[in-house]
Amino acid sequence: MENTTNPPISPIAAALGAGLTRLVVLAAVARANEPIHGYELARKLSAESPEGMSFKQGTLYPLLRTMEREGLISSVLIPSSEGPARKCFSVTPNGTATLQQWTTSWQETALWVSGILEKDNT
Amino acid sequence: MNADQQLSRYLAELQAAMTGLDAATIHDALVDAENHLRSALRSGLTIEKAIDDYGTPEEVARAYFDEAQQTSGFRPETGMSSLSTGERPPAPGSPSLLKRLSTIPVIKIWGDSRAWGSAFYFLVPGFAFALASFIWVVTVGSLSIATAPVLIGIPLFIFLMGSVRVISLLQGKMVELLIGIRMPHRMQPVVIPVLRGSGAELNFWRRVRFWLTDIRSWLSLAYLLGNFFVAVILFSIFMTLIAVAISLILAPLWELAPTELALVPQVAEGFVVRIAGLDWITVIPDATLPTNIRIFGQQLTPDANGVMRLPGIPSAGLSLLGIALTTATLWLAKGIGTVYGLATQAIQVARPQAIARRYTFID
Repeated sequence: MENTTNPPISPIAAALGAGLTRLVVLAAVARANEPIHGYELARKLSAESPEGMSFKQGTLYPLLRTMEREGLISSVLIPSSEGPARKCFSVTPNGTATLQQWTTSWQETALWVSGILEKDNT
Repeated sequence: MNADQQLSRYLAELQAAMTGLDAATIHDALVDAENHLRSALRSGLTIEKAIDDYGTPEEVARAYFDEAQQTSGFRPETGMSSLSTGERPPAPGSPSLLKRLSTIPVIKIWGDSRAWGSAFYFLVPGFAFALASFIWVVTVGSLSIATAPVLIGIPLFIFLMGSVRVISLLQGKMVELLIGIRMPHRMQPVVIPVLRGSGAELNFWRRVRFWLTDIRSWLSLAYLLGNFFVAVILFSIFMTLIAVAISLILAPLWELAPTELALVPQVAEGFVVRIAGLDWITVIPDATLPTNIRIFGQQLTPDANGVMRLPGIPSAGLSLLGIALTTATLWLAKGIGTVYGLATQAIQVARPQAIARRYTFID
């Protein structure tokens, strides 16, 4: 995801954000109970992103495309009365398994980093 | 400038910013951008705020360039390995003979999926699909013209225009699958009807108007008509080349037959061609045995039974010739397949820059 320039964020925050984007997006798609539209997904992620970690919503789509190609998510066109059919995303079984794996990796990493930081503080 | 015009200009700028990427990727990015921004407008945001949230054309284009770079083999060195999808690096060691062969420029075509896919496409599904779609367009088109005076033809023609868009999209999917040229996934954006009307809703009549005003509908119609003749020509070329190549490659099988190919004189019946002890073809009925037959430069003379045996076919040489012909055919299939795929792709992609120029939103 792209970081905005206002307010500026630190390089470490940018690096962390970039590395975790796929995990966050996959988790957000998985959390939705039904196929979710790109706009809806971007809106939810924007609303929940912490101060200084917002992103440009347009950068979400190439990521969704990549994840779809990798088989982590799938898309379906859902007809809409307001305009053209909407492309909605849902997580695949492969995506669910990958999400579990990534979540475990993230939790272990977070625990490890927290441990180091706490030692440094004491 | 109203919201629709600003949106149209944004899409044109995004298209310009993405120059250099695959046309289908640009098309899909435009579709995503349009759908996203329209959803934002419907939720009550202003177009300025929606575009600001979405990102400038340069920012969005950069994300697509990054994605293209990664999918073409680039991997950032500092990426989080734990977030990978489980891909493993290739095992160390010397490459196999097959892999080494695949690096030789001429031979590597044998392992090229686009070459094989193109050859298969032109021989079976492409030809069949072109034939079926041609029949469809000609039948429904003629019917609609013939019944136009009694007004039935008009809805029929609208139906035809809608159908050619779907058929063209399906054909694109097949081309993508077999030839490997990426095709747009949807025939949007739909900026044209919105530019001419008000609001963003796309009801049935606006959709029909869009079908009739979108250049892609007419290009699809022309494509389905013209594609038939192209498909027939390509089918003939590749069927001939592949049949000849296979025959040449299989030439050594003649040597495995228990008897040679022989011209056998039959009393009062002429000759038969006898292969492996079986009579296959009767030739020259009621003729007498010719006495001066030369094949491969050798004079054939009848034995005590009056049977003339053909000289041995230089099968190894023919086989090599067949392999060379197959290689050339694969290169040809790949080349024509690529051009064919790009032409199919060009028909389906959106043209917001052209639209914006037409409506003078940009220079």
